[in-house]
Amino acid sequence: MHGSMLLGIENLGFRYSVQRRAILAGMAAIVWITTPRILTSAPEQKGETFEQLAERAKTASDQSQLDEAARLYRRALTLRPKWAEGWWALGTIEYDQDQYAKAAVDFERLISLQPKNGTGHAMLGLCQFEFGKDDSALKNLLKAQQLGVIKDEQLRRVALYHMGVLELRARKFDDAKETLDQLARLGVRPKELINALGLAVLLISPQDAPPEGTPGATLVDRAGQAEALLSAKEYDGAKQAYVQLIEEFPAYPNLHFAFGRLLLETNEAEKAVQQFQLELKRDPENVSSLLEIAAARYQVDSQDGLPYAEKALKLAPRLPFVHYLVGILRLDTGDAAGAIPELEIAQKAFPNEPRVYFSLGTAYSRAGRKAEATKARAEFARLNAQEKQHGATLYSDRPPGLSGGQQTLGTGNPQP
Amino acid sequence: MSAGFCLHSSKPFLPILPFPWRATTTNGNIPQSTPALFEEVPPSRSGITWQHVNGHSADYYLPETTGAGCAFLDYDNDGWMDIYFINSGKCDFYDPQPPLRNALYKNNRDGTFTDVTEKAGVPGGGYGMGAAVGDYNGDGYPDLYVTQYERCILYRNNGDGTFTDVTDQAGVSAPGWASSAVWFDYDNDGKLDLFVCRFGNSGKSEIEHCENKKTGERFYCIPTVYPRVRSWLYHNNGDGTFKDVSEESGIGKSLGKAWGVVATDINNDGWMDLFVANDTVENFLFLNKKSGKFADIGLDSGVAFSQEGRPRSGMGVDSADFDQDGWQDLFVTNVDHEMYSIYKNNHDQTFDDLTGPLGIGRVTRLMSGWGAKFFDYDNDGNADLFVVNGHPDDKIEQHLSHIMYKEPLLLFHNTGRGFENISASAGPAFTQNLAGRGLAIGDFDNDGALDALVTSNGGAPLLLKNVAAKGNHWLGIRLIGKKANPDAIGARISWQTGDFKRTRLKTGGGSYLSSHDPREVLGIGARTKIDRLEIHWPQPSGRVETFTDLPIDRYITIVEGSGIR
Repeated sequence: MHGSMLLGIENLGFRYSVQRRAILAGMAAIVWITTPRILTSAPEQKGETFEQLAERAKTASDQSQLDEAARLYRRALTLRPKWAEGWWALGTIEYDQDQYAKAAVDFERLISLQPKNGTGHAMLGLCQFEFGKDDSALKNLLKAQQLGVIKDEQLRRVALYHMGVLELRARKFDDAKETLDQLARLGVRPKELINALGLAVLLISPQDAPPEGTPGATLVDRAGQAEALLSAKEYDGAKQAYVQLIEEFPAYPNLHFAFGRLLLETNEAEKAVQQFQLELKRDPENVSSLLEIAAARYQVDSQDGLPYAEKALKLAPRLPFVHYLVGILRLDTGDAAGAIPELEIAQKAFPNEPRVYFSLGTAYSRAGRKAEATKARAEFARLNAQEKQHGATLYSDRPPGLSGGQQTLGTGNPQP
Repeated sequence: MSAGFCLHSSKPFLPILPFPWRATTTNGNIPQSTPALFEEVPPSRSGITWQHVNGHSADYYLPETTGAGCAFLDYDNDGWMDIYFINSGKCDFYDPQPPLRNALYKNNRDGTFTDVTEKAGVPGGGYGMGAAVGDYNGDGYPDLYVTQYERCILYRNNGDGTFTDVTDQAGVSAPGWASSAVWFDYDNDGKLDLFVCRFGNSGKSEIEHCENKKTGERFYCIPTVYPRVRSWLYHNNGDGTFKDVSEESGIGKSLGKAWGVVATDINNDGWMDLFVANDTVENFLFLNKKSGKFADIGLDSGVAFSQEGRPRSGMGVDSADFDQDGWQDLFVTNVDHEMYSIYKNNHDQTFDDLTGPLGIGRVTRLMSGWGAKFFDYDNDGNADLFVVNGHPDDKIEQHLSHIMYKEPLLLFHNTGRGFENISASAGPAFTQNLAGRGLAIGDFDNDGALDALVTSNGGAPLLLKNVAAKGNHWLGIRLIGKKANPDAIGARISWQTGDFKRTRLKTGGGSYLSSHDPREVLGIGARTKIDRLEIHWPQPSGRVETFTDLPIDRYITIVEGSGIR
């Protein structure tokens, strides 16, 4: 599966080739900054200096003599193991030669010298993707995104795509959709991206994808097309695509759910809820749809939303987000005492999430537990200030109303 | 007698909703058979031809989209509400030609108005934002404070139909970018002090610019990019001057981006507190500590953030005891996807947000609100709610298909058990979409039915005559404090007829950039007499005066210690 997907990606531009090093001027500037430039070349001989080896390695690389260049870089790095540029150059050559394990070691060395080198993290993640170290690959690609120093647009896109696929494999469907949407918004829409988007919205991991040529595979692609239209703000087209799909495949798992999510994004909350209801008619235990209805109803009609969250809690008691949702819905319907245990579970699972402490503070206060309320609010204030400094956390990048309960469903968050 | 709002009752709270709540922001078509509740008074009838000019530029300076306010005031003390409008004007990023000015319209007592701005000497002259009216020097004539970007103006009423700019002498220029302001007596010394909301710093370089990185196209920045600043509190020295006590009072410790303010008493201790709406940061609830100091209890009281702990884009605010339990409740407008909040006072310095249970969340989920005011439009004795809306970003429709730049007005009727969105039947004015901003409430035709004045950013104002209160009875009172502050801000008013009893705190300010008719209209529904009226004058007076055998359906003036005039 990985191989065939990768092949297609390569053809369509999601395979990153470091042979195009000329476009890496930004990256080069970062790693060369501490390196003296070498202006002369020298013949190979025993006892060559570092400078001589480095110059010859670069010349060989420029002439696309990659084996020779790699050999010379290795020798130079033996003499000067803290030569960041050398690790970068060697890593990219080995990556281009499909020697991903070796390249990964090179990029690890580079990162040990330059921990904030986002491009290094991205390349390491791409290597790890290739030899199946999914967790590490995702971690490094996320780190690259967080550091935000990938200057090369092509590399950024490749990194995003692979990040999306890794998130899909990890069943982090919301994360995957968000990541892949970034590409779709750029107008990048190769077949593989469309397919991945379809998998993300239908909550299908690549391992479970319908075989090519089957109606299921077609449906996945068409759902992906609809999402791409949504990314392009072609709302009517996106909705029409879903309407047609539902006409043809009324009972396909999570299709109503996916349409409901799209309708939430176009702020048609009532219609979205209708789709989630249809999904529940097909599968009364569809936790994703239960959570979406509960979240959509929060504050708008919490009394109506609460039973959906309660049912989700029974079905998925080990998901912390469900406890949080039940907690805030109970709080909004006047049941502070009932909210507290659920929010306490959520707080243990999300110890750094300020908003959980905020709700806990409110619940304690309403229950007359003033000291605990003060403590929870102080923690909220502390974490909230930290969040402002460090950026988004669990919920902060979501629209109010907590749309997106699905994000927590498969994230592997710590469990209570 | 409590009106029956209860979040924690044994059965779920369900507001009475006679028609389905709508998910969209449009107020729909009015049923032809339904008489309007408010009728627009067109310029051809009112003579009000002034229009707001926002100075919209390609550079998208944020002040352009945030103004401006308006006021009802009786500047000549003839018993008829006059009108004041705030306009933009010359500043470091704008030089309009011909120059712009504010407008004071004298009420001709026949439903028409005459522009007397030049004669009165209140043209403004800077980039105006809002107005706050109060008799700071106790001479019986309302003075006028104009908030502006760069520098505010205090116009002292000379009592002869003219005003004098005494800003420098008084020391209340509040440099920076001021928004709403409120007159109130924070230290209970009987003199009106002044709180001025400050959104940001002035200076062209202080205004942030935001643009689409691909196209270079500019748009109005979301105010997260602005730094927090402190607002001002000025103490009235009683000699025509004021002292900036922002720091020593503790107000200055809380840095925000303030748009709206209301002076109210949230703990019934007789000391006026302040609820301040901030944009993109937490709201403040400044509790008056009685010693000249304030403490922000917004977080602990539950009004600083949204229910899930997010700072929102607070704009307009107001306060009233909407459920008649004797405690002041709060309201704040926010922008789309944030919902407005209506906070019920729990009597222990905490509040519950009843946005969801009262149905206001559903109605306002996609709307952006500015001016807002509780008032009893139909004189049934319950505080209703009027909200002015409009998105701050004039390009919002290019980005979000479901959000409108211009939005309709909202009117919520307080049924005694909840709020009912009656906008769809309130009149044609409620089906118009506006870039609404300011809202002032006042009875311009002295018929006892409180009217509404709405300002639009970059457009003509809307004067709405209330025709909804016919058949219900009322008593209008103007309170004049003697030992208490002249405007009797903080007075507690109770009126009773049979078993019908209502109480009201005379709050200060409220809404957005606007100032209201200082008279209180006490509705009694279909009842035909008021058995008893009690005025509890604010400190340092503290006097309690009781009146019986009162007339109805007319205005009276009550002077502290001197009875009805």
